[in-house]
Amino acid sequence: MKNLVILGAGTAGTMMANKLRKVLPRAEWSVTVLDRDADHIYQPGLLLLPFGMYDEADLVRPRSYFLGDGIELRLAPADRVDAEARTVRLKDGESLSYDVLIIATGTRIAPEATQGLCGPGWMETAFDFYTLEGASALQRKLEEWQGGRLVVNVVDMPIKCPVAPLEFLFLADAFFAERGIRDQVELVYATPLDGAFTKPRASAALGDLLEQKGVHLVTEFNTEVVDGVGGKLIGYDEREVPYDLLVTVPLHYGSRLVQRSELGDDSDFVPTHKHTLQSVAHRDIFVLGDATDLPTSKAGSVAHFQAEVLTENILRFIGGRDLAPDFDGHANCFIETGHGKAILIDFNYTTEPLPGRFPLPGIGPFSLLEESYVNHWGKLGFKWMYWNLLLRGEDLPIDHKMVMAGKWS
Amino acid sequence: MNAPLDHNATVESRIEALSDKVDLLLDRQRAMSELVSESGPILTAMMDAGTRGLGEWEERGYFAFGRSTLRLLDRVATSYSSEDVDELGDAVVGILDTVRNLTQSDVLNVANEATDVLHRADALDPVGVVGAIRKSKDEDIQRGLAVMLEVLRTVGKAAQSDSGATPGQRRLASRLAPSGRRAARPVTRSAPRRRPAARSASPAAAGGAPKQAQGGLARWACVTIPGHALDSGGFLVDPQTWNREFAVLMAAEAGIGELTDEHWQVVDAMRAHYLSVGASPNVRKLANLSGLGTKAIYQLFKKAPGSTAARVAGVPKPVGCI
Repeated sequence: MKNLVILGAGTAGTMMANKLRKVLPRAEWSVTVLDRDADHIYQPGLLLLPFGMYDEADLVRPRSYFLGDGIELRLAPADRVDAEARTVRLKDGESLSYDVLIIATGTRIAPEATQGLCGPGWMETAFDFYTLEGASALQRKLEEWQGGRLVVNVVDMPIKCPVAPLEFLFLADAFFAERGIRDQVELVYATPLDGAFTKPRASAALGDLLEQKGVHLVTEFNTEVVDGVGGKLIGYDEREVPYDLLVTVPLHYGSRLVQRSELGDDSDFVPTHKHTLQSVAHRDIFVLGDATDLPTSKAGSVAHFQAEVLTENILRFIGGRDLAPDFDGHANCFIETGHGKAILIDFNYTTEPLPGRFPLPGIGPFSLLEESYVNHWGKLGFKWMYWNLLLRGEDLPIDHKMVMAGKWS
Repeated sequence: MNAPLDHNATVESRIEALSDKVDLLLDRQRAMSELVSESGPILTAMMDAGTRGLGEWEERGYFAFGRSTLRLLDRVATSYSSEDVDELGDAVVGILDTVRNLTQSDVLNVANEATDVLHRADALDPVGVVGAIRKSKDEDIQRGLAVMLEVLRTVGKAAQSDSGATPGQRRLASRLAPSGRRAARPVTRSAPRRRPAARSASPAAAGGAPKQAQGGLARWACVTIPGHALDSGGFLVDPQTWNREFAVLMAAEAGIGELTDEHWQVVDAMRAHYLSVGASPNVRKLANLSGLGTKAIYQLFKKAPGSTAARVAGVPKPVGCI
């Protein structure tokens, strides 16, 4: 009996377990998924939680619901991976040996890595929305907030779902307008990049969106210190951005397990071959989802497209065949713009987001790089698809490779 | 003793009845989940075929044509009332009548023979006024003249009674006339209802983007470094064409002055990362890779050190996904 071990039962790990269980013979292969806790969080919902569009119960389900028959879920904290001995050591001293290891440990946010962020004001005037706790605390804060200067800040790239801070601003604009206090709220976006939109086609199509929503932009701002008492961000270049309410996207690192196992780079992301998803350092370790160091978005759609390529490649690896260099960096993201509308973007390593229709050329029903109601309905409808089809490893009728059909280049 | 037995029997029969229903439910459930897993590949194949087919239509311009037609319809709908369209419909019927009359076989014969004459025009002798009078003795010519005069009379009559047309017809005629004649008409009504701003064409947005970017980005459009193509933001177009001379020239352009060993440490780390990973490192990563720390990067590369160092190192600017 050979062992396939998957670290992490999040979006990527759960999909991989279900897909591989369908194709690996049960008499020859065991599939074990390891995670430290029992809750699976629907992460796209964290964006909508602060505005009361979902509540916590909508977003949390037991991980075990989604792992099918023949998959063992171990809930135990892992200590480290010993790649030479091909074992995963658990903190309780037990170890799991593997023939193939898949790392799907995602990211962690590190507010403590920015000076002052976890100090006075944290969860009182400064919040994140990348954790269930942060998003829920922010929801309570926004309910009673009477207005002032709201700063959304990205400490540094890379972050999960790079459009989320923009979406937060758009939704905040709509939220405060509906509460009738939009004129009492100043919205500011402080980003380390040189603009909210950095790709030519997107800035041509969406460049004036921030202006329309009344968002003030502070560019190339690298936060050094958060002064929770004085209520201001201080940049490395000594510029200051004052705030009444800070919604920050803290630094992202890979998992501490990766760090302890010395498998990651300086941000604990695992160096990965960009087209095959094999780890650079070890032939029998594969990586997908947010845990990789790949230059594509850290997003569920990316994990989904990777899972299709990786399922094939693990079968090839087991069969002693060459790996297929099939992953093209494909990502597909909804961008909520408030007032019941959203934008959809579809892109990969080499093609920037283009306008067009998706998935059916000319018909859609989704519009690329353009606001529409249908896009928003798609975002809402996606939750059911996520729980019932995507996580269970069902085939979705969307190609894992980006297609140019339907895009107006 | 009978009562419990009866009771048991009832429970048993109920359970039996229930188990039938449970079986049915399970069966349906199985069918549903089978449907889901079976339809996955089918849907994928359908989407594949559909995407390919529709992609061809897109390429041939069917959808672009459709969209322009919709915009045309929108303009028509906003500048004409439904009465106008009804009148246009009447006019179309009239046009069709004319076309039908014109295409009757006898009319077409006349036209065909007339064009034959034109083809033989070279062979005909020129005719003066006297010649014309002489030719008018020909019976065919006389019949032809009679027809032409009758046509002329009808045209003259119609021209006179034009003033007798209904106001609607005259309005329609004026609308349908070439643009010069209706320039003063309030067609501009449709102007404010054009495209929403979000989809506005590039001129407006292009004006917006640099405004956002701040920091005197516009300046980079004018900077040139001989032998190296730069984009409008001052980034090297092809990172492979980078060399150390380029870095020195670019550093001068970027206001850094002379490159010290520490500058080179950062530049080399940045290039190495780009060449291995395919993406430009951000400031934090650069601080780690070069081993100098974030504060030092700011001191070395001044304001916006991520972009400045990327320009000097000849790698693309750090970008988000949109």
